[in-house]
Amino acid sequence: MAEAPVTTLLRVKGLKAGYGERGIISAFDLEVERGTCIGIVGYSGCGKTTLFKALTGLMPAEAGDAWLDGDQFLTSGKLTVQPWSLRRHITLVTQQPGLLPHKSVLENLALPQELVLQKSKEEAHAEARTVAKLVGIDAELNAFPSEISGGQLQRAHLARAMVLHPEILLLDEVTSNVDPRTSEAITDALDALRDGRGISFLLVSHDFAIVRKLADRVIFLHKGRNLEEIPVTEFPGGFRDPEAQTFASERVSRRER
Amino acid sequence: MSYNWDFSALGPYKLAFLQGACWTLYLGAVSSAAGSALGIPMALLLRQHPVVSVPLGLAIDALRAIPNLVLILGAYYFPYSRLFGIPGPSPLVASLIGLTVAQLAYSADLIRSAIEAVPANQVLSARALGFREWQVARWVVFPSVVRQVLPSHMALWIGNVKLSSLASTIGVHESVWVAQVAMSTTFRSLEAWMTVGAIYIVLVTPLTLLARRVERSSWLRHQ
Repeated sequence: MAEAPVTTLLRVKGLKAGYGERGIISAFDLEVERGTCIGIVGYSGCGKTTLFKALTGLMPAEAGDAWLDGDQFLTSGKLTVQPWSLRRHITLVTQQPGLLPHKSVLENLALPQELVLQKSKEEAHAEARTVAKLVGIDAELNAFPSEISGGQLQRAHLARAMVLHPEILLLDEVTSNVDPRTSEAITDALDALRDGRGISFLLVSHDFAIVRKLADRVIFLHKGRNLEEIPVTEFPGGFRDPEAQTFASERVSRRER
Repeated sequence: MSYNWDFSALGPYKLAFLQGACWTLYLGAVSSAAGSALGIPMALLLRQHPVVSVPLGLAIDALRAIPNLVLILGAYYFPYSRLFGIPGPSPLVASLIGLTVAQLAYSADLIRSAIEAVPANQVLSARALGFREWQVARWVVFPSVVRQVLPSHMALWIGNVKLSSLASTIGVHESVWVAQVAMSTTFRSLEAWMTVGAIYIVLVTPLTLLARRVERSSWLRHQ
């Protein structure tokens, strides 16, 4: 049986953004195939958050071109589509959960579907329940965000993006500040999501174990550039660039210590 | 020493007191609603470029410093016809202007600081999910601002009902004005003031109880 052709879902060329910010992105190139996960590692301040914000129009880009499924949405640093319509396809899961405190978890998962996808309340609630089960917060649906634990909050936050079925999820440290069990539950949910729905991920994480589990390829982002890209099978030992090698060995030895 | 109570002397003024109570409520309700509603655009202006926000902020601070009575008298005795060639407002309208402006000054500042206190991660993650700007305003910013400013605004509204008594100074026929008229003919001053006190207790107590309920409501506590 012939393998299905691998298609480029997201292509980024020469992206530059974040002038005056802590993390600057410059001359950044990337290709993401449908249904794959790219792990992004690097020192703090290497530009990971800037990259995600620039790709979703939450921060203006200064230069660069980008295509989603062959359609150009960024031309010489200018967004050529409305930012909210872009974010339906490329959705950022921010590092800090931002659930609405006056709504239950269920309503928090339903509202974006009703507003962004114009779904009916019934449809939105049904989908919310399905995804809540997937990430293991189905028992907390009627609770308010202030009544659930940090790990559950993080999962609800992730579920709120998952219910929208974007083509690419940008995950910014979604497993930081949670216990190992929650982290594993989140990882399993993401794994299931990719296999079941063919969603692609860009995954920023300090946790090499999660990168190894989810990513197909790993990028070392350094000073705003995509310095080296290796298959996950070679991660973290397989970087050839000296900067990347130093970073990876520092991280690994720190974990072992 | 004794005092002969005689509320019956106030009998002919029963209806006048009732009407006075209605005007008291009217002044409080209209100035509260107008002051809060106008506070929203003022708060938004306070977040604009310093060219707009700095003079506006100073004007608001000045208005907060001026006593309500002075604002009401100013609104009434302002030389409208000499300066603008238009007739001045009636005592009722002048009182509403004075009370509204006073509350507006407080509201604008409260609402501005509430908008600035909306958690940034709630706004950012709503945008990241694809909310349009008006949807962020309607579903994230607005509910948060309302929950932040509601308790302080209910205190302002209760205050407006009481401050409306100042309108008696320019002849609006609210409770205090009725009491003064009744006193001048019956000389039963203690009874008249007690009647006014009772009217305010009846008008304000339900509002106080309501404010307490709102403060304790779960909707408000989930910040």
